[in-house]
Amino acid sequence: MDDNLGSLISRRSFLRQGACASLGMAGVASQMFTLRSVSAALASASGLDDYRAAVCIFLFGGNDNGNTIVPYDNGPQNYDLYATQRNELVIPFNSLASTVISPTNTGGRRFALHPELQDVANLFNSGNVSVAANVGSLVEPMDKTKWDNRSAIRPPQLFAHDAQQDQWQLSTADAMDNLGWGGRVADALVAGGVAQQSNVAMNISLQGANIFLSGRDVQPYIMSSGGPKLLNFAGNSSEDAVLRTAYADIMALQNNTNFAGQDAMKKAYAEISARAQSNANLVGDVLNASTLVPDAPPQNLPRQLEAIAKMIEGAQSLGHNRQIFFCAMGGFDNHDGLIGTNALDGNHAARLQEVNAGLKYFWDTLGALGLRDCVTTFTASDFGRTYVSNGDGSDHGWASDHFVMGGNQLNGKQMFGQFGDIQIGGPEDTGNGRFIPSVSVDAYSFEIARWLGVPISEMGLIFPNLFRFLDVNNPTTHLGIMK
Amino acid sequence: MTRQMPGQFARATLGLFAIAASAAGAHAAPNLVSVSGGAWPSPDELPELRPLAIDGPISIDPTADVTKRYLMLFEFDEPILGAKGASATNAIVEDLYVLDGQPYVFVELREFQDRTHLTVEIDKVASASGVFQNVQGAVGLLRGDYNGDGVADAGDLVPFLDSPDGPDTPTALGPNAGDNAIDPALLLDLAAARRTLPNLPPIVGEGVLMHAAPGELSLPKSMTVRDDRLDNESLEFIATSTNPDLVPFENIQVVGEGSSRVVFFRAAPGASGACTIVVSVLDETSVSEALFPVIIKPDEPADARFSMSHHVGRAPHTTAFDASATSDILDNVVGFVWDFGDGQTAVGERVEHTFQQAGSFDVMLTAIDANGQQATETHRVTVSNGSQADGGPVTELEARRFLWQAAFGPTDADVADVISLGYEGWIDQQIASMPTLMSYADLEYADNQGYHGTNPGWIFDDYAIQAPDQLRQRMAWALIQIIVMHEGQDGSNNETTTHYYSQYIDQGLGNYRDLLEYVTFSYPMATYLTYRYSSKANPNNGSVPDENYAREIKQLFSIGLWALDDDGQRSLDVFGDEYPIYGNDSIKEFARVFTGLRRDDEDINPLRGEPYDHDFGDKQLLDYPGVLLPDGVLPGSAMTEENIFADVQAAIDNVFHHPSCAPFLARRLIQRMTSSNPTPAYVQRVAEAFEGLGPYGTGVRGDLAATAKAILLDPEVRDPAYRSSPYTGKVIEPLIIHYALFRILGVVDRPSEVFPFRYSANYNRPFSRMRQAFMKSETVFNFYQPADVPIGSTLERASLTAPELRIHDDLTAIEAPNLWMQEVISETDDGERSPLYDAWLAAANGDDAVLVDEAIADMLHTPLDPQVRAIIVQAVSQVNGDYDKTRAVATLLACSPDFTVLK
Repeated sequence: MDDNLGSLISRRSFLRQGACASLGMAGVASQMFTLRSVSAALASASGLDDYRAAVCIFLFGGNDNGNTIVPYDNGPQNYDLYATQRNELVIPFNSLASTVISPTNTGGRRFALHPELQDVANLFNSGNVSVAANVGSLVEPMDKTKWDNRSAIRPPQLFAHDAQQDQWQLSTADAMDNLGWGGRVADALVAGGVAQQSNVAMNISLQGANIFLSGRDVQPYIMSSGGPKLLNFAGNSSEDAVLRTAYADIMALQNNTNFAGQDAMKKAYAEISARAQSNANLVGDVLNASTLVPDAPPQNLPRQLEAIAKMIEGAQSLGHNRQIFFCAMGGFDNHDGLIGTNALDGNHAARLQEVNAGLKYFWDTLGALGLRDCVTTFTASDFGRTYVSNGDGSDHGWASDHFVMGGNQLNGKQMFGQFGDIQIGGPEDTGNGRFIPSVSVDAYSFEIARWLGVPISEMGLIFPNLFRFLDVNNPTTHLGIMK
Repeated sequence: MTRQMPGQFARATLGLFAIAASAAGAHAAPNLVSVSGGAWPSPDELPELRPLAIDGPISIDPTADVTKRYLMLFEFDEPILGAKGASATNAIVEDLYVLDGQPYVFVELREFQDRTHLTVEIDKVASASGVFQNVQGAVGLLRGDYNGDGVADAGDLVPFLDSPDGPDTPTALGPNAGDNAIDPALLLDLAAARRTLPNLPPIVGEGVLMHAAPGELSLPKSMTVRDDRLDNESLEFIATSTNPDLVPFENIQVVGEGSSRVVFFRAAPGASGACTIVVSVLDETSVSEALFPVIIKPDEPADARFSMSHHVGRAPHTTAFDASATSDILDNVVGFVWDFGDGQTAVGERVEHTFQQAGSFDVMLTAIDANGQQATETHRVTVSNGSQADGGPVTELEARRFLWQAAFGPTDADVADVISLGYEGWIDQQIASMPTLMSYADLEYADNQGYHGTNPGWIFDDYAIQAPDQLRQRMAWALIQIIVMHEGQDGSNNETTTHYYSQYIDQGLGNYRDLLEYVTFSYPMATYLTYRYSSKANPNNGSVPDENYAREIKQLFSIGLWALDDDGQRSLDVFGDEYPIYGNDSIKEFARVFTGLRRDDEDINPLRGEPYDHDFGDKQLLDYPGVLLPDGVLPGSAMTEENIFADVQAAIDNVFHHPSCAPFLARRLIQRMTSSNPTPAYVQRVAEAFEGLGPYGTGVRGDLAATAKAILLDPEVRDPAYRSSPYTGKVIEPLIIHYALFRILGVVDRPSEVFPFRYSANYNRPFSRMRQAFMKSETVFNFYQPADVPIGSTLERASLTAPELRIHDDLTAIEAPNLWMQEVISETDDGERSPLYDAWLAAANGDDAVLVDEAIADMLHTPLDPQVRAIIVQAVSQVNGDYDKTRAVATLLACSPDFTVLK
């Protein structure tokens, strides 16, 4: 309880600053936030020892959802329709048999994953993966009529990579700041006393600075899969060590009150520099201390997940009881070369092979760590792609389908949200198979935020548009991906 | 309560909207004067009815809570005897009755879609003359979070008077002659009507944090209660706590009367910890709770903090001190004592003091609490005698420092020019120079040379490093951090992006009004801030004009949110409160201006006007003393393209001439060039130059050359006496350090290429390592914001800023120096390597200390601290290899605070 008091008080001094620095109504919001957070802190003071982590795998460029999950059965939205709609891009029916997934909540309707997603399909059918279908950035609920007459606000800059990547990471499609939802969730978890505070931020990016993990107080810790970057001034290790020491000594001078050159501006600069270096050393030690995490396959995404697994293994040393990770891979923007000689090779198949390898490796590794029930992994991407083939690729679309992987915390083997109507020119198409999402990124993100322990009372502040899509207090309106 | 600027927005009040009505009608019938709708009135307003009241906004969550009740008032020009047959769209009529000659309709909102109409009709009302007539009142638009306060609530019900549909769209339909007979059976029984209302639980305010020391009384905290049925005196209060060991139930008191109650408690002796006090409020049948988090811990000294209005200045120097940021867990600070460090003292939360002599004064605040515990905080005030207000002799070191402020760092040639011309002479030369504008042809040429692309960032790098009109280029870079644009979100080809940024260069020492005009009519901005499709409101589908640009042109590009005095400090109203310049209503008015602007045939062309989509009605722009438009009203005009342009020009003028514009922009430009924490006096001098006044003013408002001169020649940045202040200067932007290293070291990446520095412009790399790159800000708020400061730093405790430290973090503190090392410092090939290295080595002749001193002389803008020098000498002595030594010293210098902070 005493630790909790300490965090309340430091939070209080933070908020004074926040109120000064904020624009417009944000000051008022911060004040409301304080009061609720204090209550939340008091309420949750006993629950500090559980560990939870969320891992976002971002597929940069816009994953081709059409060939990721394919309708498999008969019916009005069947494989044949898929095949006629997708033309050259089609995956042959007889290649899909081993990746069929049978959600328990689609009335028996079955789907098939891309043949490269064999392990993901197996995990789905064993109850450790679910699908969130037809997800996309939305400002408010949208349908074809509203789209046509512009009676609902469209997300800004639809179909543009930059903006749509941002909107997935912001969750709030019309946000005017750059605080991502992972960052806002971390802010709430820290303010509410749910997450312990540590020198190393609880939000950890394997892909550089990004919006997703940037909060108002919590800024992401950034590392590469090879470990944190160190000062690299000399190019050989012994001289680098000398120069790193000199760097640390220079920064430390500003903390010496007898130092004649002390200066408030320089001191503020030096404190951040010194912390950066000590955090890099601490994280390096944590990675080296790992004993349970096996080597990943030598591919980009699995190697990032290996580093994440080591950070999870070392959470205690890092002082973390909550972690949010961001890792990513690119290469999904396949306007051409999406397929090779057919849909079984080509760029998209190669990308999905890596996704499959990454998820399989990570699942096995979490098993070795005994933390499958404590880590939830989910995918995100700029947007889905056009259902229309442009010959050997597809163009920027909107709604897409995503995977969530976890243990007992997950309502597994299900499809959440309605699988979209794949009819080109149909009632959900804005043109060329750019389908209107029926599930907002807000509703999807909310599932993870809720599981991580964000108090329901804070959800409106973290997801300001959420109320347009669901009632936070009414579980029957939630997607229900997380238990 | 806040002071209003005359004619400006009226602060929105939750409550009753007045709506105009057409008054024509049969003279025998009562004329409907207005219909208004809003939250239920307070009991004080309608004590007889005692309807449900709310205390502050209540949320209308259309999915969660569809039964919010509203009261609609229908006012007539004569008393009404009876009313019957109310109905509503998007709401369920719950009750209708007449009281005191006025009909009241209670409705429950149905689940509503954003931008649907809420209308309420009464079929018939009867006047004293016995005439029944039909009336209809259209109350307004229901929106989601229309007013942007974070919740969809009563504040989002927009009366038609203010609606984007314009003032003429149906408000209340006039009276129609109707049935002349009064049917007494249809008059409602008021008592019965009341009984139809369900009893609702009392509404209580949200509890607030309370503190107490062990065994001591807490400070009282207030709570508000309301009930729909019981008068507030009859409510019952039961207070408990979640931990009686800390707060025994009998120690909690709830006192007061009416809707205002006060809660306080006495903590148990020896208690320490946290719990919650639960105050249950009971009416006849139901209960509500207010939760008060409680922290009990022994009293501690306060957290003493204070701010200074002028942390530097010339003797006799007067500055105001404000200790109101001091906090105490028990909120029991009783005294503030000041020691000004010059032998003088004072007492009070806010004091003013004049320092008669020059010197550095450590001002100490002592905050004393009720238990006599003391806390102190010390900040420094630096006072100059003014003998070197112009900066004194232009030495080489001073010239270098000046070029860090006025250019992308120094080159030897520029240093020589500054020494020979003097500061003002050099600035005049820069003003007279030809603008070096971006040329798309250069990019096409490079593309043909095998560059695979036409990236405007290549030119930006090139000009930052080598353009002769450095001051103009530096100002352009400052301006695009105010009028922010992202090259990936401008929807335009590279030729247009190049052209777009060229206007920032061209106006860098030109006029801000011209830049704002260009930007407003540019396709990149119309794309970035989303007005390129914006059209006048369409009542058929409920669409309204896009508010994005209307908001940002005011908030970020011209005047900010808060009314400012001439010196940039927030204006205070008669109550001593800061006040906003405008509200959302004003943004809606401006949004109507930026309608019907459309892409012309080419991205590069100015926007054209589409009259069919523009709103040509009257628009209420900002009203302020000296405003060009009478009362700030932009009159309606005929439907022509020229009139669209005229509307936009008038709106630009309206913000550009606002009194807040000059101090708002002055402070931002100062922060980008010289100082994170300019005193209000400095801001005022620069604002005057912007307005065309003062020693540098040219009589032309918006003159950026005069503004730049005022920024750079101000005593606050030139007088060496202020460099010892811990708060002066700024952290240099990492991108500027990157360019400056090229300039200082004379490194040329690829001498034979069209763009010799283009690899540094692979600008995802600079951005990912420095969080700063050309046109790469993630948001319209720039890489950092003017008030950013590291939490917990001395700067924060003194209410000062260091915006650039927002992008100095775990990653960039290491990656930025690594990048400088790799891209600039480590060039080793002959012809690309810094020529300085050989000069340093020759001078040093094996003596590492001399080597370091040579590097310091070439690189630093202010003297290097001797202890830092000693550390670098020691480190370099452990490095082998001549060029390894030069690289090591250059890199360590480049990341040392004496280099990265420009005093």
